[in-house]
Amino acid sequence: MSGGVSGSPDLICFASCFFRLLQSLIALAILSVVVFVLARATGDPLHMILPMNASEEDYANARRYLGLDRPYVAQYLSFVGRAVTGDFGNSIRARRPVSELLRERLPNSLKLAAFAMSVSLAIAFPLGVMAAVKKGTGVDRAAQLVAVLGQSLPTFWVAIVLVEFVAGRLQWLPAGGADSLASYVLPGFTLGWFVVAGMMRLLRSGMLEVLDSEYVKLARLKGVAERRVVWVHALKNALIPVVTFAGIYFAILVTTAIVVETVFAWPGLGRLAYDGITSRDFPVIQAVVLATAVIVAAVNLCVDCLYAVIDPRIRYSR
Amino acid sequence: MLPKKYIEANGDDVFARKPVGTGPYRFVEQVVGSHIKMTAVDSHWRIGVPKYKNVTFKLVPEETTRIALLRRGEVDVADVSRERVKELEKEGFPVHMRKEEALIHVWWILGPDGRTPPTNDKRVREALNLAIDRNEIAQSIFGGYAEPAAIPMGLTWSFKDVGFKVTPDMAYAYDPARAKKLLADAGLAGGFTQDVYAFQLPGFPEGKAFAEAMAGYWEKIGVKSRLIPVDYPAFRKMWVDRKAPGAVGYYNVANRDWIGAYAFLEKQGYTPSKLNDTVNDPEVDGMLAQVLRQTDRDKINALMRNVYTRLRSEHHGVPVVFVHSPYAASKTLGKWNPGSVMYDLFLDELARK
Repeated sequence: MSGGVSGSPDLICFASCFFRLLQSLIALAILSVVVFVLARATGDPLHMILPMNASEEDYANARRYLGLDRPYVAQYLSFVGRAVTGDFGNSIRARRPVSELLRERLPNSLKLAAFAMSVSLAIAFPLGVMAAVKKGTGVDRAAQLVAVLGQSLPTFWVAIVLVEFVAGRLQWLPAGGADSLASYVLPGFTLGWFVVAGMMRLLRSGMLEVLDSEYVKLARLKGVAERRVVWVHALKNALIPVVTFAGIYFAILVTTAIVVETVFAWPGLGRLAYDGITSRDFPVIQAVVLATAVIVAAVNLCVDCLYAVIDPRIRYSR
Repeated sequence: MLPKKYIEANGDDVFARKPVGTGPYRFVEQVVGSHIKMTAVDSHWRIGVPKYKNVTFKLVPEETTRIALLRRGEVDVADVSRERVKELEKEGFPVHMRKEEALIHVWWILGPDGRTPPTNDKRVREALNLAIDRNEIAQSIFGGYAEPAAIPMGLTWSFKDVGFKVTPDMAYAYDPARAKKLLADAGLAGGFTQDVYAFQLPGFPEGKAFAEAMAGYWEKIGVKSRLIPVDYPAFRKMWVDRKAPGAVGYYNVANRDWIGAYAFLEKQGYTPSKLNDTVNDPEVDGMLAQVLRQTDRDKINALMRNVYTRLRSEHHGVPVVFVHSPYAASKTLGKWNPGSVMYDLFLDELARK
């Protein structure tokens, strides 16, 4: 069953994870160069920071103060050397260590992503399973409508509509900020809405495949209760792709909520990235991109390893 | 007023994070990207005991969200765009206008050696001014919350300081026929081509629509205007590097008193300020240099008046409109005049009904 690869399954699994880790580190190294170059390609930050009537001398002083007068290679080496120790320099705009800003913002993004993911799971699970079980009925059609809307409605539009009507007109929920549990609802729903669609479709197709399999038919023939067949035997096997999807999407929710965090004035990583980009704050842009890359790489790595653990076929085929 | 000892002891960065000033509110905390909190001092030398114990500035980039916060009573004041004013007033929210907060001013980028053809010809500059219907721009682009401007680089809050009066003959009429004639007199009857950079600016969301409108007016007198959408930093680089001589840019110049106006002119209308200069006029340079050396206030005022007169007579730019900036307030907030001092909204004068 080892597919021609010698060694114990555990050793193969470890080697596979190690190889993935190496891949991730190489990707991060390449990304550090790309982000360093691209951040500078967007323009001179001094044009954003200094007032319109700043003199040539003001520019020279600011450039020297911020270390932007050094050669690019020296700037890059200094950036990488410090970044590996968690020091991303000082924000040009906020005049504070970027690592401090990341520490302040990351928990907010993680909390919002966790809330959004919980909302998604709470909606997608019953809907996806019921759509498969009641294929072709009104429930299935309603689920498909949710999926289409979830994947086709732009996030910024959903966010603005919710702010305008649910918060502003109906005044049911807070419009912005991260002051209370209630303030999680609108941004969490906006973020989670998109994930619901993907997860629900994945679960529905997985369930349809499993429900048609021999072992499910056998379970039914043996008289196992339909509820148990669906929610225990079938769901367990339909979950494998959903776990992968959920893991990757959690990382994406943490790292790409720029629009949602900006509309809902949520003090997270996405908002930090937005502020960094609009003010040409190189150290912030570099740090946010690298931090998000690390999160995505780490989650991918975990999902890959987890995948190998929960599905023996994958482990042994490597 | 800055605390010398505090800054010397702690440095600029600490001062930026934990500022100390002389106002009626003391800095409490700043959460970057979220809010700034301040609390009232016990007794302030200017206003006594402030009426509100705590003041929080929330950083909310999206206007829809700011308005929703106002509707929910989560904030008392929100800056809003001019296009949302009528809707909010209809709902009963008082909207306070900061009158003539900024001059929307258009200029031509200089070349390495100063003005380049064809805008080095005064007649062409006047023609480009006469081609613009300022009243229509005030109404259509700024929703009526703007007034036509007449003096290139002339800031109205400084006019009363230096005793400068804008007479009716100084106002630029909308006169495309005369503009065409001036172009013909300058040997440009067939028009010419100019680049117009189009960008948004903070406090000026109408930026791109404004640029399109300007280009449209100039097209009507035969000036082919190529709109180049960019972001402001990209434009600024073209401007200060002088890589696009004769191309058009603009800015919402914050209105200010005569000292602020002088500082603005000294950077943007003074040849020795190489980087930012948009005028390159020895006569203006001479007068601005004299202002710096002069200590007699009357003479300074006379010099400033002469600078404005010269800028107007030479058409050193296209002053388009002064925009009013709206601040919507909660229904419980009392009378409030956002004032006419640069960067000062007179927040300490706020009072509940």
